Amino acid sequence: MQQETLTVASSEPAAGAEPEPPHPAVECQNLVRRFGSVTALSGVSFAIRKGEFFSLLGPSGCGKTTLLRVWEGMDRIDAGWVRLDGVDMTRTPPHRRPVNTVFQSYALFPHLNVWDNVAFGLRMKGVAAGDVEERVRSALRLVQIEGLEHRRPAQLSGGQQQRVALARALVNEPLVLLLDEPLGALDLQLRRQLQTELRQLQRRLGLTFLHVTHDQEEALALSDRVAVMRAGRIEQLGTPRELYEQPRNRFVARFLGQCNLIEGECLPQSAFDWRVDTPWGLLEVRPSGARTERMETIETPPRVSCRNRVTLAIRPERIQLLPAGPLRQPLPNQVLARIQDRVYTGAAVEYRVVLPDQSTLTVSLPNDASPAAACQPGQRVICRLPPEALIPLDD
Amino acid sequence: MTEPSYVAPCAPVSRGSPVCDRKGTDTPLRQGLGPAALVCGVPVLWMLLFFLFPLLGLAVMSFFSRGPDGEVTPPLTWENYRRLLGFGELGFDPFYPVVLGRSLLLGAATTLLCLLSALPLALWLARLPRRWQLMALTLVVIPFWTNFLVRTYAWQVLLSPDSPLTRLLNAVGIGQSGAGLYPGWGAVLTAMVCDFLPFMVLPIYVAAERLNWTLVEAAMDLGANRWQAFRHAVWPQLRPGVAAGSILVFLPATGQFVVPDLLGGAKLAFLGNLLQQQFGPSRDWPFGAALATATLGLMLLALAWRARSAARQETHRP
Repeated sequence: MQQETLTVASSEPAAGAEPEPPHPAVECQNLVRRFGSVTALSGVSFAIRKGEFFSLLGPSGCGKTTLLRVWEGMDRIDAGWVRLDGVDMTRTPPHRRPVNTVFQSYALFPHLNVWDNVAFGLRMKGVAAGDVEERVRSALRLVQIEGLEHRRPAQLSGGQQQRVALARALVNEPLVLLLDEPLGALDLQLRRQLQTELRQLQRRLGLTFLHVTHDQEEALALSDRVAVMRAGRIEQLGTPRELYEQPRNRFVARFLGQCNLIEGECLPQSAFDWRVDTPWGLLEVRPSGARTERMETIETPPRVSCRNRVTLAIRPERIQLLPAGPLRQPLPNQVLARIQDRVYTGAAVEYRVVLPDQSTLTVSLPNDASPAAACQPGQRVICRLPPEALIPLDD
Repeated sequence: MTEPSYVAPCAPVSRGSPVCDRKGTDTPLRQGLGPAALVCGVPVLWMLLFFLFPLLGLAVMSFFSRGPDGEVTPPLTWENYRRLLGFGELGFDPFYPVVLGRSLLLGAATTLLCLLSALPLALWLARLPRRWQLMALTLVVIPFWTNFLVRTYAWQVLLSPDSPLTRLLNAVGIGQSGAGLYPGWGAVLTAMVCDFLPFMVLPIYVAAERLNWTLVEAAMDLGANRWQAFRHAVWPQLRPGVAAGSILVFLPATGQFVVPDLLGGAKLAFLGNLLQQQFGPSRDWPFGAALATATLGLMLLALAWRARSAARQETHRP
C-alpha cells in the first residue's frame, strides 16, 4: 500500500488542466488532543489538495506543532481521524506513513555525513544500493549541495544544513512534506532566498507541502492557502489574499500584519451598503467583500450581519492622507486628524495620527516623492478611509 | 625615576602593535603563575612522590630476581615476564595465562551484564520527571553506603543453597532444588554486577539525559522502526557514555579478587589474588611487580583505545 502511494505521489506532477484528483492529499476531521486539562486541539478539520503549499500559521502554543506531530504519527489523538491520500492513517505508526518532515532544528544525524544522512530513509526502506546512489545524487543536486557529501552536519552552515534536511526528506518522495518552521533559525537574507527556492522546488516537483510557521510574512509569501490557528482551533482558512483582505475577526486581522480597529454603531442601508456611526462621524462601508480580480469585480455576500455594535478593521496602507484646507468640512469617510508621530522605515513612511476623540490610527504610505509622504508631526491632515477598505469583523 | 611605574612587558619594543597586544594578554596568566603553582604544586608533588615514582619503581622491580629469602636482587632478567606467559623453569605451564584470561573473562562478563542492565535503567532514569531523577539516582548509588565486605558476605547468605531466597526461587522453578548460586560463577557475577552497576549507569545516564530525542523522531519519520531508531539515533548518542562506563567497570572488575574469592569458593585464582599472593605469602616481589606492570599495560591499552574512539567521535567537530 505504502509503495503504491509513494509512486503515485512521485510520478504525478500536478498538471493544471487535469480534473480534480479523487482524494485530497491530506484530510483530517475533528481532531482533538488534550494534555491533561489543556486542550491543544479542539476539533480541527481541513483538507489539503495535491500539489498545494499549505501553511498552518499561529502564535506559539496555538496547537500547530501538535497538529504536525499528529500527522507525523508522533502524537496520538483523542478523537477524529487523519487520511492520507484517502487511506485512514489515524493509528499508523510514523515509520509507515508516506510523509516526511523537515524539522525546525533540522535533526540531522551528527554521526553521519551528508550522503548517509540523505540516504538514511531509503536504506531504512531497503531500497537497492544502486537506486539509493542515484536518488541521493539527484536529491543533492535538487537542493544544490553537491560536493559536500562527505562533510558532517557540524561542518555545514545553517543554510547548508537546511538544504541537507530538505534533501533527506525529499529523497523519499513523500506524499506530503511537512515543514516545521524550517527557516526559523536562519538570518533574514538567507531566509528570503530559501523561501524563493522552496517555493520553486514545490512548484517544479508538484509536491504537497504542509508548512508550520509563526511568521505571517513567510506564510503569505509561500502558501497557496493558509490556516490561521488560535488555541487549538482554526480561526480562518483561505488564500493569503483572502486572509489579509477579508479577515474574519480581530485575531486574524491583527495576526496578519498591522491593523486599525474602529468601533461603531451599524445603521444598515442594504446588504451591500452600510453606514456606521463612529465617534468621528458616519462611515460608509461596503461589507460585501467586493474586490477586483482580473479586471472584473467579484461580489460575495457579507459574512457579517449588521448588528448594533460593529468593529471595522482597516489596513494602515489603505488609509489615504489629504492636505487639510483651513476651512474645509470633511466629507463622508474623511476625518480631520493631526500627525503625532512619523516613523521612516525605508520603503514606507508610517504615521501615527490623532483623531478628534483622541483615538489614534496608523497610516502607512509608500515612500514616494508625494507631499503626503512628507508630512511632519503636528501638521493637520484629512484621513480618508475608502468604504471598500473597511472590513467588518465578527467580534 | 623616583617611583617605579608599571610598564607593559613589550611596550618598549612596539607600542600598540598587534604583537604587543597579544603578548600583553599573557600578563595576567604569568602573574597568576605563583598562586597557581602553590595550588597545583602540592597535589602534583604528592602524586609524583607517592604514585608515579613507586609505580616506576614497581616497573623496574619487575626486571629483578627473587633471592632465596624473598629479597629483591639482581641479576636483571626477563624471566618474570616469561613466566607470566607460561614459560617457567619446568617447561610450558599455561597456569598464568589462564588466570589472566579468566580475569579478563570475569571483567568482560561483568561489563556486559552491567551494560545490559544499565542501558534500559539509564534511559528510563533520564526520561523520569526532573524531581524524581535525583531520588532515583540516589537509589542507584545506595549500595555504596554499605561496606563492600559486608555486602559480599551478605550475598553468601542470600545465595547459599538453603537460604530463603534460593528456596523461594526453587519453589517457583528457577534453579535446581537444593543448589544455590553460591559458591560458583553465578554468585560471583551477581555480586559483581551489583557492585559495579552504578559505574555503568551514571555515565550512560549523563549521555541519555542530554539525548536529542528529535533525532529519534527524525529516524522514525524516515521509516525506521523502533529497533532501527534505537540502533541509528539513540545508540550513537549513548556510545561515549557506554565507553566510559565500560572502562570504569572493566578495569576494576578485571583486578577484582575479593568477590571471586568469597563467592566463588576460593578454588580459582584470579589476577587479584595471584598478585596479593606474590606480595604476601609467596614473597616473590619481582614476579608480583611483573604481574602488576603487565596488567597496568593492558589497561593503558584499553584506555588508549577509548581515547582513540572518542577522538574519532570528535573529528567531525571543527
